[in-house]
Amino acid sequence: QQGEQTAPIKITSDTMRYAHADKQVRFKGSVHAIRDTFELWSETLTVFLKAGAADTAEGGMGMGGDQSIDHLVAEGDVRLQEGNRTGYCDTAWFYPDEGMLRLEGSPRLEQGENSISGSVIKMYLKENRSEVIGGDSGRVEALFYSPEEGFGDADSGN
Amino acid sequence: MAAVGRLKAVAAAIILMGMAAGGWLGWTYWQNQPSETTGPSLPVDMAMRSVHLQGGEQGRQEWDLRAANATYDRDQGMVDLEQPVLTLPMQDGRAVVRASRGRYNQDNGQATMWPDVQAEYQNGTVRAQKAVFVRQEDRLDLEEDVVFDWPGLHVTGKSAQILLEAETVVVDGGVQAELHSRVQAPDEDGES
Repeated sequence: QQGEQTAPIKITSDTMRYAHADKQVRFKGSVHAIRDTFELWSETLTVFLKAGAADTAEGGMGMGGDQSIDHLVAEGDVRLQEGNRTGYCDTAWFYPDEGMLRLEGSPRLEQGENSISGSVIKMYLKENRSEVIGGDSGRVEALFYSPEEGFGDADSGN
Repeated sequence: MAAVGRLKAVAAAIILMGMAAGGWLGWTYWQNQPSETTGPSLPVDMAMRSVHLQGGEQGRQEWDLRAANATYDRDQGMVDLEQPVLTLPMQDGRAVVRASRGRYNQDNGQATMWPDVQAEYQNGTVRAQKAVFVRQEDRLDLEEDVVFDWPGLHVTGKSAQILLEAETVVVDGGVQAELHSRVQAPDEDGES
């Protein structure tokens, strides 16, 4: 497939554990991950390899540079930054193939002074688009500020 | 005739002096030769060349240690190794560890290797300044400037442990990793 881009994810943490049988690489303690303009901070970050990825002919760690990462899960005090958008949640799933991020556990997305929250937030990084699914009350809560009208204290929008 | 006689006498004298000097030189040279029995000055019971040690239980080989040269100290039960190569069989493949020097402790079965440790593990390479094979735990401890290089994943840390039986790697002391995953280029599917 021409035009494919290898986008390395740079990760720093206190410790890392790679379990060949489980096909997981788990980073733990002050985790900070960067890829292009996207940054993530969390307590842990687990990389789930695709079923075939880790079983190369020699049975070794076959990250191989092909699409060997199935998904990543960040847990614990998660904060994300993409351009001027910042997200907060308890748990975040990242699916590199689709370029999609799913936030759960009191997820909140902020862009400048505007913010939106719900029970689940999906961010489509390639399409620069987000989707918010209702909270416990089944509603999405969004706050949009419009500088021209100079609102005093804006109502919560339903 | 007298001249010929005198020449003969001088020649004989020169030959005698030469033999005396040669004998003296030979004697002093022989005196300085270390005798075979003392060998190098280390308190060593045995010096060996191309050594091969193996270990295992119930017919299963657990480790294989080779070295270009080795010296054995019976009192301490230590084998000092030069250019050691340690091979550790695993379920999937094996780990091979190399270094400039090493030491095998007969009592606890621990092999220590240093510096410039290079290892092959799980389809990747590992580097460190020191490696310790802890046989009872079936574990390889790596210390100082540890680097794991797998296809698609590069990891550095201060120290690491390879749990051979569980085929698990733990890196600690501040980890830095670079993870590669090929992703669909944004312009690949027509959307900006």
